[in-house]
Amino acid sequence: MTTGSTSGNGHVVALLDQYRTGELSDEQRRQVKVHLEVCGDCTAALADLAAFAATVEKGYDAERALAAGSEPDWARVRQEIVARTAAKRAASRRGWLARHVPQTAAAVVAVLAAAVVVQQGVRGPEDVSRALRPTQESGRGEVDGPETPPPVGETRSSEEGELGALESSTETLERSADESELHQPENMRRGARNEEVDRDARLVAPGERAREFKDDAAVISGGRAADPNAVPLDEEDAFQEANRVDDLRENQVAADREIGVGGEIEHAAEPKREVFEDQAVQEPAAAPPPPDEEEVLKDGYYKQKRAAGQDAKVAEGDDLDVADKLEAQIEVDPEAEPLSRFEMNARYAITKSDTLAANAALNFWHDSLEAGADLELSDLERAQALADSLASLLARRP
Amino acid sequence: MNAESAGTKQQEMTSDEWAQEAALIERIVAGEGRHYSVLVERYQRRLYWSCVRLLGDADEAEDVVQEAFVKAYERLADYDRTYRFHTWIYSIARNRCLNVLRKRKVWGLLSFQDSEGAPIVAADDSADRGVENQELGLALTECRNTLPSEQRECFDLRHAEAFTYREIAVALGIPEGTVMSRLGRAREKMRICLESKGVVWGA
Repeated sequence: MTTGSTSGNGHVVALLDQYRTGELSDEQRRQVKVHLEVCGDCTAALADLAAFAATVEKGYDAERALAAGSEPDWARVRQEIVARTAAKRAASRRGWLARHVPQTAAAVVAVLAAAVVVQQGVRGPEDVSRALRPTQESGRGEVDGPETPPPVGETRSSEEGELGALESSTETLERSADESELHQPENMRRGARNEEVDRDARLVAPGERAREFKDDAAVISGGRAADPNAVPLDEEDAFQEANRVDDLRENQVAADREIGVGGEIEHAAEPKREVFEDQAVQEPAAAPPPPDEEEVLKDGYYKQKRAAGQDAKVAEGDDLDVADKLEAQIEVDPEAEPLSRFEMNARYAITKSDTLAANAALNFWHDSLEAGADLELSDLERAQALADSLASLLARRP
Repeated sequence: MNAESAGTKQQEMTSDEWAQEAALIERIVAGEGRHYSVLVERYQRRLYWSCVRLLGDADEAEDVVQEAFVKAYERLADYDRTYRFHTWIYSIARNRCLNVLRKRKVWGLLSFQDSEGAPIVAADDSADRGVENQELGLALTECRNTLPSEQRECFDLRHAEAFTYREIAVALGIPEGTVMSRLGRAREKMRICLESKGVVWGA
């Protein structure tokens, strides 16, 4: 590195921000440090940059403070997110149960479980009913309602109860989490690794799969509801409690699913989000091509050609160069997401059997999309299919 | 503002905290999904403000935050732990913001407005410093709004969220060199704009 020359300063100035926050490699940091010792301008620039950053940071705080009144209630937001992820968990458990318990057995089981819950509800010893609260609430309202189990296929009337159960389950879950050591990060940090492992072993043992099996067995025998051991007798382990409550509800949901009761649960749990998600995910795929798609495609293609034509090496397959230029081209249009750019170019290449375009698109796929990019699963699959087509196009015509 | 506000303060993550978060995520992936609320609590507010900056709308930002956390939960096993969770959840939320913007067909118009469209009134703060900060906040908003959207996003991530250059590059899917040039240009414009509004920073 030269010191004092303009280009040398330019290089250092470009690195000052990362130097400031300790992001440079050891070698770069050493170079900047050496340079700063002899260059007053750069030292001043660094001080100015730090002051600027501090002021801007304060500005962001002030910006948030100005709009503080519009902030959501964070406890509520968290609760809603947790409830929705709990529903997802239940849905994934459902898959396991569906594979392992025959339909008829599940139907019988659910009816039995419901009957037992009714009994428990009537007897209701204090601690037992506390442990069973979510189950009772998710028990199709038998406690206050009809004394017979609900007919198979009854869905509407159970929805509200299920939602309520979900909420109360979430509360329990949140309360448990609040009591847990996870909200005291220093404990986790201080805790020796072994302690960590022990705790995990205690909580998860004898393994997630085994636990699921046991839970399903519990459903078959009328749910843990009927099992006096279900009440925590010795230590009040918040995690275990949360786990059990969670599982009870999930198994109930799973059993219901098997016999067609409460089939709407997932939708009930997320009424408007489903709509939003569908739109968000499907829009790019389902939307009809804009009227000028051909133009856009051509445009993209010509830009590519132009980029390719400027460098003879490209025609020989200098992959990096094409990819770089493709990337540069994407930057030109801030609206175009890498994915849609890729799709446009890939489709064009496939339609026209253009190996040069295919090569460029495929390189872009490998460099920018395949691994790190955050894509919806459906997008990823679609893009992967396109990439496969590109690869086979190139294999046919090398 | 209360204890929650501490959550938005930019903080460098120590390697200890990083390891702790990685361990937490491993437990969630291994089936202890209830711990997810810890991550939600840690990042929801920061993510919300990032979305507000992208969308300029509080309600939409809240929806996106919820969507992003649910999506991230579903795909937590895919999360690449070489990057901070914050980087990953941001890129998920960002994709959703872009979907919203695409629907709106406006990408670049930003202002801090509530859902009724009325300007947000200043938070109650009687101290002189509060008034000063208020002016600083307004100046920052105005100046940020003069930046092209891609420069503004880089600038926000760098200075509001303390992302590294590498993290910005990953979250936006662009080369690090591009991050550097966008930040350079953004800073140049911001300096001039803020100075013209009487904002000073000692040095």
